[in-house]
Amino acid sequence: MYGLIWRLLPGPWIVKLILALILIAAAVYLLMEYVFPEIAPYMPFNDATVEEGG
Amino acid sequence: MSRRERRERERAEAAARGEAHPPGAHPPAADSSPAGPSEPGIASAGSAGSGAPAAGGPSAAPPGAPAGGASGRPMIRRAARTEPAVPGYPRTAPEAHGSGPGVHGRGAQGFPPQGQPPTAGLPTQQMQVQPGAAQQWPPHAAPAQQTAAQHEHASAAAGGARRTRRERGKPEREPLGPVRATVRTFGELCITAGLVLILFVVWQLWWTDIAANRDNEVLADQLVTEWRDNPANELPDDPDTPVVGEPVAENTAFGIMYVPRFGEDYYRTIAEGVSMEPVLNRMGLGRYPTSAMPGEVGNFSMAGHRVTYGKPLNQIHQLRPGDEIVVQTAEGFYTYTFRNFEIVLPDATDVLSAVPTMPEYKGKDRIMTLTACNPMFSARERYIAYAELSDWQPAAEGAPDSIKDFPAYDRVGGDA
Repeated sequence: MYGLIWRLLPGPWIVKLILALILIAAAVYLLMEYVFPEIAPYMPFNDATVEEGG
Repeated sequence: MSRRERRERERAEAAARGEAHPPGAHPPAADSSPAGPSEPGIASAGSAGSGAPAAGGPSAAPPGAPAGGASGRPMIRRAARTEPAVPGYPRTAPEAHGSGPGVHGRGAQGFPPQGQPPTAGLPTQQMQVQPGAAQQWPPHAAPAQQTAAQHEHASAAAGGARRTRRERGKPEREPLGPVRATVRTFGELCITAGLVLILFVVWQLWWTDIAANRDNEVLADQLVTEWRDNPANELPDDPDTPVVGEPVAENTAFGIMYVPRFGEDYYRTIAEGVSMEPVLNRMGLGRYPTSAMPGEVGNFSMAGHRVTYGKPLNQIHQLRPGDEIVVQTAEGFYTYTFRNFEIVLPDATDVLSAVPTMPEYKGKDRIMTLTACNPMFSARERYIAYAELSDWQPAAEGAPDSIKDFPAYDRVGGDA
């Protein structure tokens, strides 16, 4: 999988490295900004603070 | 290096292409020898070292026995390496080499046509072969030479290819079988999942605090600015009766809480509602909309995270009876005094009633209730802290003494 990505990236290895780092940064950003806030309410230690009505 | 190889290859190809070329190539070799008869070795070394060993060597080799004693040595090496199968060269060459100058002279003057029977003790068989070879040399020798050249070429090409491949550090990858490819992909996915989980933990435990603290500062600044621009100037009929503000819209901040016990820098904004997003996760504490407002008779109840998202109630278990909790709103400062705590199950909503845990009573006290999850990082229980209003000051009178010199108050609402 990662080998395939590496082979698909164009350019010499330094360009590949930069592109790979950009891809990683984008993945981390998407995860932290959108994915994690979505799944955080389902975590067992998070919904603790509220007194539920029932 | 590669340039030399290329030149070599070109010559070999040219030699292989034109069969007339090898004999044509002789005269120069022969010419060069007479040109410098006194230094035959150098001349031959020059011709051999000039980059034509592959083509020049073999081409000069057959006549080399009779003629090219001068070029004997390089020729031998080359021949011995590339074409060990050719029988004639090694045996004749040392012989020719042995009689160096004489042979050279002979080759220089009358090499091509006669084939010059070597005088030294060559086997007769060879002597017979040699002239014949010299005679019909082009058609006969060309294939051998060609194969030699091709051999050289092929080996050089293979070596070059191997070297460049090694230089790039990129070995030709064998295609994986379906099983190995599946196993590898599965392993990579597992590693990725592990990394994502680690990132989630980092985000939850560390990043949410940073983001929430930043939001807290911004929100508190906005509130204080708003209060400064719109000062509340209504005074109560009875100075001892606190003014109670109107509930604000949900998900809107309306107050700031200071708790000296939680630290000198502690302040958290209070917003309407107890939804995770955006109140509890971004705006600090949340007021239960069904509960009383600050200073009102009844139960002013707030929820807050104990871990993550800025953890406004992280140290709720540090409160001691008598600790002051100051809530600042547009109307003024409400000072509550901590009384006791309780640990309940998550569905114990009666802690929010006007008389906590006794919903059937209509209280007359001004109570504050804080709720947070109890074992940290768990949702099993709730930690409940109760406090009672002990003091009140209108906004016009400034902050109470308990937080007047408090760093958090100086930073946030000091000049309000």
